[in-house]
Amino acid sequence: MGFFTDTSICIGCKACEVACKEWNQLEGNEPSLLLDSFDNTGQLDAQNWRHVEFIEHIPDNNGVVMTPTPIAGGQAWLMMSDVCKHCQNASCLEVCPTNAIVRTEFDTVLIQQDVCNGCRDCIAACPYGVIGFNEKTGTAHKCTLCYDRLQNGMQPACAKACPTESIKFGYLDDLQKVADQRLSALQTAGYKKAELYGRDATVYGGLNAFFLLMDKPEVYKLPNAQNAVLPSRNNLAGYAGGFVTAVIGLVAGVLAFRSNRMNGGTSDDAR
Amino acid sequence: MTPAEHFAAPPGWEWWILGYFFFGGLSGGSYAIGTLLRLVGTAADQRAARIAFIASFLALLPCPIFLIADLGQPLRFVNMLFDASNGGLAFKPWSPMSLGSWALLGFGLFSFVSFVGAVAESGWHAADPIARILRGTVGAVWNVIGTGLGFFVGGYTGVLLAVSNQPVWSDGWPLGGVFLASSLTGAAALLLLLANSRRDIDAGTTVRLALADRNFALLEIALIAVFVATVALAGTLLSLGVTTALAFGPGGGLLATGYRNGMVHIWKPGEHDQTVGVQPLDGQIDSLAWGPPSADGPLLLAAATAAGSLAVWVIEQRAGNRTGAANSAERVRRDSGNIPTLYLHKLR
Repeated sequence: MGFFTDTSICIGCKACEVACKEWNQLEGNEPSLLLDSFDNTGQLDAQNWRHVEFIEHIPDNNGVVMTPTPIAGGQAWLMMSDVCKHCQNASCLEVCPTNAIVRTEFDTVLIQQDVCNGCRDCIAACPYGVIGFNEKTGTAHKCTLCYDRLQNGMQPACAKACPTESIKFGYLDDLQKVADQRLSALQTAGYKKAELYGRDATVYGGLNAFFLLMDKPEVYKLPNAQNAVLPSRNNLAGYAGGFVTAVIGLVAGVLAFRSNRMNGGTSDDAR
Repeated sequence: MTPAEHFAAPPGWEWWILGYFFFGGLSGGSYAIGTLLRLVGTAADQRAARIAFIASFLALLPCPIFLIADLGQPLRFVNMLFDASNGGLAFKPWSPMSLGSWALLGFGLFSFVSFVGAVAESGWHAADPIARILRGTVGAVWNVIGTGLGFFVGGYTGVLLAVSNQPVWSDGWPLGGVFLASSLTGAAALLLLLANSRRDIDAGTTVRLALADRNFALLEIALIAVFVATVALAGTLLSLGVTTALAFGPGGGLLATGYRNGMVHIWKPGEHDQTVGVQPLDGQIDSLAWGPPSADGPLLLAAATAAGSLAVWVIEQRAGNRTGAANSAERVRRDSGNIPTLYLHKLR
């Protein structure tokens, strides 16, 4: 099961954020204003499992659009309800030392709260900055794809609340079909830069929560296909570098500790 | 190659973890130096070897305390070793934190036994049987295995940082080596400090420790250089970021920007693909200049680099006023004078 989030019809109402917090009993962070933006949630973290990202390509005081967007004559508000991607090859699941992070029977990625010990390695690993640390529980938190609702035959709270059906929930096959149709409709209508993110295996083996974007992934703070890499890529080279260093270190040490033997070192009956 | 770009959140590993890196490194490095002194050192070096094994265990003591204190749920530290959901072992060789937890446990055993042996040799005769066992071949094997684990404890922390999606940490692979070399350098310095504060240490031992410290420091410096180089290559450092030259085109319709890494971009405000990338030159772009305005002819853009190269681009504006991507780079003249190289590029 998964999400298809179609950002082209997101209106930035944040009903998903509210529904998520209501159902999952998230207290939310202290309110803060990001002054020149409607995005006052800021980021996904332990208290925000849905985050409506506002990317505001609007004129500044001089009438200049600093970062023009490919649609609507360069001016646009891009909105995207961001969420845990429930990656097929999940970075967080890969590094978790306690096996607290598991893949569920719904093919989603879940942090078992009774196993997590709060080491935060998953936070270092998640390429999307999805996971946050909750000081009260001492554990890592993120979207569960409403695991409890799924177990009771209900759809996730955010998808149920979304008034424009920008957030769609269902079986991946069905969602992918809908996404393909929507993409071709948009491209026919002239939105050439529209693309699907995570629909196929190019990003972490495919995302169970994938997106239709109106601009490049980087604009939405999503790594592109080249930068969507797993932490384990550095395992082999890292340990090999360490091994070579250890060998060189040993040689350097042996050279140093044998150096004085020839000229007047003390007798050589070690121990 | 696309420059590395990261959107990961910081894990908030702070003083407890820094403290662990420091003491864990000292512990692993001290054990390795103790083994070196024992196996290749002289008889006079053996006092220093005992100090090294004692220092190794004492430096290791705070490590688990720091690590457990850093956990959000400290009492669940055992979950690092045992899978709380099924009662089996939690052992994931591809997760450095999992592997490191086991290595720390194993190294703790080796470091403790060697510590007891060293204390016995220093005069605590109750532990003499252990010291006797550690004297023979068994002791040598014990020290070698312990050194392997000590190296692992000193170095895996760097690998752990690299095995993430954090900027800089994950952009360079040599971090494990840097941490390992650093643990040797730090341990050699610690032992030198301890040796200098005691009269019973052979002067030759001190000289050899200083020499070893110098060797380890050279290794560490070299690895830091390699690390910085790999991070730079990944594009996290010294990437486009710094603009070193700017020039508006005739009529103000185009803007050319030059960068420290030798890239030149042409910007056309109001267009979707507003940047037109141009091949990088050999060095920082020092200045940019457009040719004189012309009604419909091609535009000229010239760039000079700090390395002494000069490049000229011919930019053809197509119908619809679109600039296109660079398609050819032609070196037309090479001279040994003030302008070593002239590149002629054509943009359509």
